[in-house]
Amino acid sequence: MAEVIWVEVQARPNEPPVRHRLTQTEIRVGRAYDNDIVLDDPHVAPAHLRLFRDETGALRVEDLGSRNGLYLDRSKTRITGTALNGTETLRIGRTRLVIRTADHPVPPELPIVRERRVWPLAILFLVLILGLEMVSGWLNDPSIANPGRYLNGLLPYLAFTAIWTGIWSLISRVFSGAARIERHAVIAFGALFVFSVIDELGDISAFAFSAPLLATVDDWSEWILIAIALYLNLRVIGPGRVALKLSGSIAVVVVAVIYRLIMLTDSQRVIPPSFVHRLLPPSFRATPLKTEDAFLAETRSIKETLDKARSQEPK
Amino acid sequence: MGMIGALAESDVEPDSMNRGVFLGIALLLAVGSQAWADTVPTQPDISSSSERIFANARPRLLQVRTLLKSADQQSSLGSAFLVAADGLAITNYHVVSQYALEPDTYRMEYLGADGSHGGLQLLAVDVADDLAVVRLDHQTPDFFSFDATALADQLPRGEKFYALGNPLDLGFTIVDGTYNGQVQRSYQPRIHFTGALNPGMSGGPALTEAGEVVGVNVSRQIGSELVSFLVPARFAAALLTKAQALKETPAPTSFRAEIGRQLVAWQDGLYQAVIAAGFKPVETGPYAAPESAAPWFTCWARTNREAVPKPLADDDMTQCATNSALFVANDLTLGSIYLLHSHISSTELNPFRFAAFVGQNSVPVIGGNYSRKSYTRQQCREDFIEADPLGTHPPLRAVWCSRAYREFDGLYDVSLQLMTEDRSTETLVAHLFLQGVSYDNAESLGKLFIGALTWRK
Repeated sequence: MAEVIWVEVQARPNEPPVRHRLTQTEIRVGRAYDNDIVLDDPHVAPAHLRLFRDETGALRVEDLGSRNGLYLDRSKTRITGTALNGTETLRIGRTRLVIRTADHPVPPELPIVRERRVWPLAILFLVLILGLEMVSGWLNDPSIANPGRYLNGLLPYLAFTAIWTGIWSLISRVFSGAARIERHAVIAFGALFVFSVIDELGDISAFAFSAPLLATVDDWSEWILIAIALYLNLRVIGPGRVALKLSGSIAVVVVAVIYRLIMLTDSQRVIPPSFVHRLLPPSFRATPLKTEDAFLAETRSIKETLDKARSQEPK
Repeated sequence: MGMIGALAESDVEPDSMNRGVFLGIALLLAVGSQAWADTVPTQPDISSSSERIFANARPRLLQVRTLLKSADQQSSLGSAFLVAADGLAITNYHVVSQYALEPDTYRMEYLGADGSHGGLQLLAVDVADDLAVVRLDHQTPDFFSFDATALADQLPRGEKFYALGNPLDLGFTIVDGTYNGQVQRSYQPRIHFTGALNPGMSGGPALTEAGEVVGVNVSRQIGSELVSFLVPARFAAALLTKAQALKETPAPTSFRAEIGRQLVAWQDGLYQAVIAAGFKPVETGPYAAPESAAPWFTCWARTNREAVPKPLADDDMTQCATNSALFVANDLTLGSIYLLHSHISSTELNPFRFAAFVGQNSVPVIGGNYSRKSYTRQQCREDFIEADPLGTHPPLRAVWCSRAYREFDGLYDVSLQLMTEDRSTETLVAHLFLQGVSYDNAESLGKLFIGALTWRK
């Protein structure tokens, strides 16, 4: 019974190979029509390769004297021939060949894993976001309740989240074949929920600790959340290249932080809040009470800042 | 001069509360001069005494013009009057303020009734009393003398005065009116003159029947009829003595620093008096709000109870201000003290929504127009402060904001807001706003203010 040899011809990268099943003892490859495998690559010689079993019984390949030669894998060194075991890729002209015998081993079958449905989690995040904004909006509104108005501020964020989900689903579809929209939605809405919580906590702690700057924590956290979401979105597309994805996400944070610092030094543009804008009930105070004198001593430190600003601050 | 804030203005931001007008600021003259010329009466039934006074005074009157050097065009007009043979004349500080602050940008000249004109030297300024002494380039044998009873501050109320000057650049004019004593509630002594002062008459003299100087025209009240103000003659006489004692003419560039020194010294006097007067408690709900016991404060109250739609919390406010603002430059007035307190309570709002109401209705920072030319950016500190050991006041939330005057070392604007923190749906917000104050004075008054907020437990 004749031995079966498979020759996989890959004419262009990213295209599935064309497989040829051959049973001859000697196989010839080239552009001429007297070959067993005829290639259309103009850089391949009319008679380019010969495949055969040598005296020891090993499968070998040999260059038949082509102009452009024979190369192995990614090597740049031209060879005249080599023994084959099925793992190498041969390069002739611009064509790649893989030659395997019928006993070439293949990995065992992968089980079909059904992905868990995660859409209830996305809905849960959405409900939590809406609930949080409604309650917070109402507690911040000292006039007659107007529920519609409380969500106005949220609309651009919701739109952004929806667009983010859509774009990542599209990217997923292109690169991994599946949109996985549920997972991308969970990431986006989860990030928005965390952002809402941080925003609230920032306001509360600004009052509790008499520290107006804490109310701006949301401006910093939004970029960190975007970077985390970016990383998770990339992981959903494919589990590989963790280092690259991680460093890309960290780069986003670094760029955002540098941008913010530049904005802060340009004092004309961003004025940090000088006082706590959102007041809360007295029970939310978390710092110990100061004495009058301690407070007045603190206000004295402003004087030096102002005296410096008198001469240094740009007009 | 922020004399007697108009009623309707009681609820505006501190910075815009001043409604006094300065007669020397005459930039709008060019537009209105023709129209005004038709309406200014020539006073046909002029009394014989005014005729005589005017005839005698005319050669001693001057128009003072401040000109922009680069364009050689006038930027402000005022009046002045001769008070010595060696060419010394009195005018208002605000007539010469542009030159005093920016001598490289402006120059001054005078215009006599006889058409003579020439340059002016600035010899002395008194910012607090809005006076300046200038010198002409020649001898002036004809000049005014001061009225002795006015210098002794013993003028009888109801006496007839004659104010002279060049209103709206229409030509020298005499206006008769009545002396109505010194203005009550004004920190700076000012004479209440019932007569028609108009822009351009600033710095002109007010005379007795005998033609002697009793005061200097300075301002009028907007939104009123014939309510005008004079600087008492004794301040002009004092500044003249000071100018005559000068050994050499001060450099034009030296006045800015001098103005700064005067402002610092002046606010020291004001704040010593206000601190000495102390605060009096004004009961409002379970709290007593601090109001100043000094006599120069005018207070107005208002409430939001009639507002539509009906607010969910009641807010009863009182706003007090001193009549002590000083003109420094066209874009800079300082020297006022504002005291505000607001008793807010609600039975309808929960503690969160109540806190939001308080936050939206009492902004702790220095408001009004922020001019980068005049001020640094403001800095704030806030904290919760303990009731004093005696427990006379409840725990408070305090916000202190301050900004410095760029051009004047040692002067700041300071805002101190206190808010009681003992109840969750009722609070007293007390706010002290000091305009043009030294940091030490602000701290002293601030400490007194915190101590003066008390409560019934």
